[in-house]
Amino acid sequence: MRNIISLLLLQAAFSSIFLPSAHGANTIIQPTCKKTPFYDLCVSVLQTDSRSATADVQGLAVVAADKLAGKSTATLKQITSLAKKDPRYKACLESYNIVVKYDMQEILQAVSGDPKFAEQGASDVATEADTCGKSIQSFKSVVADSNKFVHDFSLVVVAIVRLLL
Amino acid sequence: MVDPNPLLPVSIPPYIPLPDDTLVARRRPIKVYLLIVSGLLAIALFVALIGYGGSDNVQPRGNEGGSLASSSKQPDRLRPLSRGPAAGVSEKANQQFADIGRLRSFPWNNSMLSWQRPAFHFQPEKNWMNDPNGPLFYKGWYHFFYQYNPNGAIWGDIVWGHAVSRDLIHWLHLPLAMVPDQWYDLNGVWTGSATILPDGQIVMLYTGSTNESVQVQNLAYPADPSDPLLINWVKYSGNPVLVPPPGIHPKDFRDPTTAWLTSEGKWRIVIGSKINKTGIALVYDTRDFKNYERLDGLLHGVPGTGMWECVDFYPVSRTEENGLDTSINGLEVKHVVKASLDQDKHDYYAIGTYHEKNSTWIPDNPKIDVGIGVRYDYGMFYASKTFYDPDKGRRILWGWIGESDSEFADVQKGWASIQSIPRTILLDKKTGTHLLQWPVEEVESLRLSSNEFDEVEVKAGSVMKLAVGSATQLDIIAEFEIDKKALDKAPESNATFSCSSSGGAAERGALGPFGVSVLADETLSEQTPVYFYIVKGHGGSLKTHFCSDQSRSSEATDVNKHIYGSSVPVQHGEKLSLRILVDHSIVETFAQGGRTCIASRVYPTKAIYGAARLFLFNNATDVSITASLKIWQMNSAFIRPYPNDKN
Repeated sequence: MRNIISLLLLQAAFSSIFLPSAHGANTIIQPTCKKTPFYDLCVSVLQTDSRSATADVQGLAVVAADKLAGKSTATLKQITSLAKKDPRYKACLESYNIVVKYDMQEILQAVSGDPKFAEQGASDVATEADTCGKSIQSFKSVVADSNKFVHDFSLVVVAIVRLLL
Repeated sequence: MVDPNPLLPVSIPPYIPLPDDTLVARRRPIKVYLLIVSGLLAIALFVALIGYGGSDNVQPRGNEGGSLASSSKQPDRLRPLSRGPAAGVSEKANQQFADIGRLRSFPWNNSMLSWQRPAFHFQPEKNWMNDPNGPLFYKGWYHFFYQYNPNGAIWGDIVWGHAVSRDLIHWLHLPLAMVPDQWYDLNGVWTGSATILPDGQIVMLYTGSTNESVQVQNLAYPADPSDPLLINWVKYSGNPVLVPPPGIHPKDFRDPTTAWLTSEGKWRIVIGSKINKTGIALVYDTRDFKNYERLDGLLHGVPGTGMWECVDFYPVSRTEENGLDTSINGLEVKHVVKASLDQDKHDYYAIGTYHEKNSTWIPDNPKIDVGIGVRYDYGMFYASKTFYDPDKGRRILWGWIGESDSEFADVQKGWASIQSIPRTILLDKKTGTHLLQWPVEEVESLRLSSNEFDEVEVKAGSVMKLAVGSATQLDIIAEFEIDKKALDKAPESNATFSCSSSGGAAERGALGPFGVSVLADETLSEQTPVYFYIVKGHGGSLKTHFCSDQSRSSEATDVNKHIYGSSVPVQHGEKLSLRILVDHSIVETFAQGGRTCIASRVYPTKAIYGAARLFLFNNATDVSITASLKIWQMNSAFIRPYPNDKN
């Protein structure tokens, strides 16, 4: 009886390994994300967009840029309202104004056009997010998580774009 | 929820997380900062005591009013120069979070930022610029077009800017030549080249990024050929004239070259592309610039070089000292193939032979083939393009020099990028492997007063200030001779040296560094040394390197701090010579008559306006050098819009 149970358990283990993932087997997402500094983040974010399932590396770059734009804009909104009453958010407000108004425009245009400028823009986003992060690290800020996402994911965008050069 | 992990510092690729103890240190930033500062002070004190004679005056006394013509002046001992905490590489590409506690990158103020704008290098009145486009000479005017963003100081919304000049130096801005108003260039009116037909007609081929971001080639021509200013342009109604061919990715097909005539009477162009990681140049023939046939095979390709942007192809004379029209061919001629490599943002060229029959080009030396050998310039210099100037019989090179500060600063100051001073191109007859680039002679019309220093002896380990007055707009020509006996006695070294991995001008060797330090302040807290560094190898063979050192160019931490440079061939009997054009935040340097060039952007915070100085230095340990210099003040080129009433 014990043998049958362990056999069944082994069988279940093997099956789960070879079952296709819930989102369908897109072979491009995983190898692309492996070349970025944040594999798990890259995979989880790209998988939330239906375009990723059939995209090539160029397509994934576009999806990644869109996701970064969405999160940066949302974070800017949050920071803007916080900054109205809390002067500790001054540096972050400055940073995210640059990110949304300038860097993201450059990235979104360049990612399907001339990718090296998207690389430049995304690197700058990382710099700005880092500046913001440092300025809020001394207290429990509600935007710390979002800012970290923007920082890390901008570096994912840089890495994906470099694959296009 | 508070993120317990401070932001992980990263480098872009490969990714290397910092060890855990650094994270702990971050929780008490002030303490660690104090520790680091006191540690550095201790080191500096130690070095000062043991290294250079503790009681000497460490301020470079320099020269308060006369020239250094007499060599009776005692050279000053070199200050021990601590490099301070690592500043890391370009803000744009890499972020090393070494300076704990800083909030905003650097508190740039308007005075510092407005000083940065050059006085005699081409740039639009504001906003972003990149590639040079379609340079040409027509009806007495030099025309220059360029990639321009009318809406901001970063790349985007690209159109063609336009300017004209009589002399390649004094430019007048004209209205935009082309904007993205067609489906076939809706996402960008990108780079292109001009061809002037024998009957004087101008044909412009350029890349458009279509409404679906596919790269296609388009034809345009002047609306009114009798207008010497060529203000208005017409796009051919049948555009695009070329679309990506089978096997070529729709985003790897751009930057058509100037055309040249084949012996069959057809016009031929090349367009850069790539197949996997091999950079290639595709070849097309046409009779009317509207219908094309793609040739089987490629002009050339080099594995591992990636996408070839802004390909250029042109003849150089093996015997004469003039430039050649793009269609010239024959035994007296070599051909240059040049590509801008997307993957490393540098411009490479190689010299070889063009075989017209099968339209291939073979490099003279495959070891220094396109993309793996010589660069036009070892600093910031990209997307360059040449054209033939029939007026003075010259081949002239334009190069885009971008910013190496932060995009935040670019947005604050409202502009980004300049063009190099146009350079004449000649084959270097002495080496055969290099081209000689030299600023066009018209730049000399900007020279004002000069100071001359003849045969100044600069002993090992000394720095001297050169009294030249204002030091932010200069043309410097210098020659150096090394004491022959000391050179022969100097030890051999089997160390390999490269400018970029060296310690900059502070790293002393037996036979270098020695040269000039520009945009320095009185105390040398900021300086940009430009210098030679000689290494004596086995058997006494000498290898000379030419470097431009940004590492201490500014106290700001959000600017590029690289040491640019390369080895430079020096022929037997040649003196070491350099030329430097200093124009605020751009320092263009040329060694051995332009055999090796370095364009560098620097952003000092103190060595600006009247506080900028010029120094001569010899930081070698074993040799003294003799320097002769001539230094001119440079006037502004007063680049401005074309006066309205004359339009």
